[in-house]
Amino acid sequence: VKRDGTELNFTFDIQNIIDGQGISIAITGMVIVFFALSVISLFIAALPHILTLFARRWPESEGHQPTRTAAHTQEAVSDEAVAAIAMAFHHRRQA
Amino acid sequence: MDIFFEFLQTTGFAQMTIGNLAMVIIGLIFITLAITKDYEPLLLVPIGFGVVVGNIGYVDTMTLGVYDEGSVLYYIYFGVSQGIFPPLIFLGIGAMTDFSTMLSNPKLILLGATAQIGIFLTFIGALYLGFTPEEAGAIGIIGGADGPTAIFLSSKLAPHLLGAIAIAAYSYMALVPVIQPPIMRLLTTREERLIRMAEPRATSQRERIVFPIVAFLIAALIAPGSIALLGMLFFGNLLKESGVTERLANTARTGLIDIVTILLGFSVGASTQAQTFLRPDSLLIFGLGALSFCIATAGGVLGAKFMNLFLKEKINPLVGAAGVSAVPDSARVVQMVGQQEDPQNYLLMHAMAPNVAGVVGSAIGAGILWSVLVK
Repeated sequence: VKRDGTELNFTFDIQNIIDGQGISIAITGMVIVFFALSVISLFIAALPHILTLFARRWPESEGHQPTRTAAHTQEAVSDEAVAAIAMAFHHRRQA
Repeated sequence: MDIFFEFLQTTGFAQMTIGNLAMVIIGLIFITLAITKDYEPLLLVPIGFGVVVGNIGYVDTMTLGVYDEGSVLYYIYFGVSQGIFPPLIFLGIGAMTDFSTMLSNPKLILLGATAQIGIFLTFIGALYLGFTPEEAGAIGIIGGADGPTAIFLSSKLAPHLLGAIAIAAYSYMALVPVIQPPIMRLLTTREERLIRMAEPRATSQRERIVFPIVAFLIAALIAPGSIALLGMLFFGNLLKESGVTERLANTARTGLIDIVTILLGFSVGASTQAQTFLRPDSLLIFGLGALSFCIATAGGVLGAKFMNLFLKEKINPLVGAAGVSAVPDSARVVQMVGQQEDPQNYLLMHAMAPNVAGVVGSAIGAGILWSVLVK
């Protein structure tokens, strides 16, 4: 007896697959997954071309500049990196 | 004195069964593996401790467990049983995922589809063993190698199997570095493993902003059952890429996902009470789960080999194994196996493309199974 109260049927029978429309559901499922991801893939492949056309009308620089650029630049450079750059700069000036 | 003896009857010692003891040991093994072997510690520690908590015996008149309406654990588990936590986890995943590699090499997305064969072949296998179609669908999704997706679909199709399916899914995800490499080596030649792939191109911010919106529309219109998962995934990614909602993205990928992971892992662990978990069908679910992981890995690798028949610039077939989701572990495994042949071959970035495509693919697969099987 399964935990939901129904009887567990250990028949190991091909008929179970036929009764549950297993093959048709599996094939349909795979085809739909492939179709959906193929459409997304085709869209991504076309996206740079679409955006190029779009950019002629509305160049990216004219649009809204997100605020993260400056913050990201600051976050991206660690204290160690700043120290290393400063040291290299110092050596170069001394040379 | 009678009160003392009555109290003794209510202690965990008196209520403990052999099954509870076995589950407590399993929970401790999870915690040990997480701490000593570093196997998915963020998941296995909460799940392992939850297993221990869920298997302390108590008298029936007390409402303590996840299945006892009104208990604290019941309300925490509510987020699992009603499928609330998985979409919130997807929000965090979206906010931390960089789709750039996928955008720079869109053909790799198809590997995220080929790996989903694990879901559907396991579905057939579960039907063969005698599970109902709804149960078979919930078991099959283990092959998607995505814990939140597996929990979400189980809560909708077969809530009584949720504990076993969740534990199987997360256990096999933790074992990705053990399960995948032998299959990857078996199905590829040394020459194939040595293939180097071109550097991915840089993507513009506009591409990264437009992608989550349009990809959601495509996926949701084709498989509306995936709305909750993919809606949150792509919403999280839009928060990240828009550049104007950094605070929200940061919350989603740190505090929010951490809180939900703790609650989900702990309550899923606590749902594995021996009386409901240690049953023959749980063993079958574990067997089918292992099989589905192997099939999914093989499907991804063979899919890459098949694509190579038509491509001028060959794909390293190892990256196909990352199509099983399990972000980012399976991508790391690809990098590891690739570098065992050629230490200078960096496949991680390439593997991330089928890896994130696998997340999308398994969510679409779950949506399809839900749509077809829900009564």
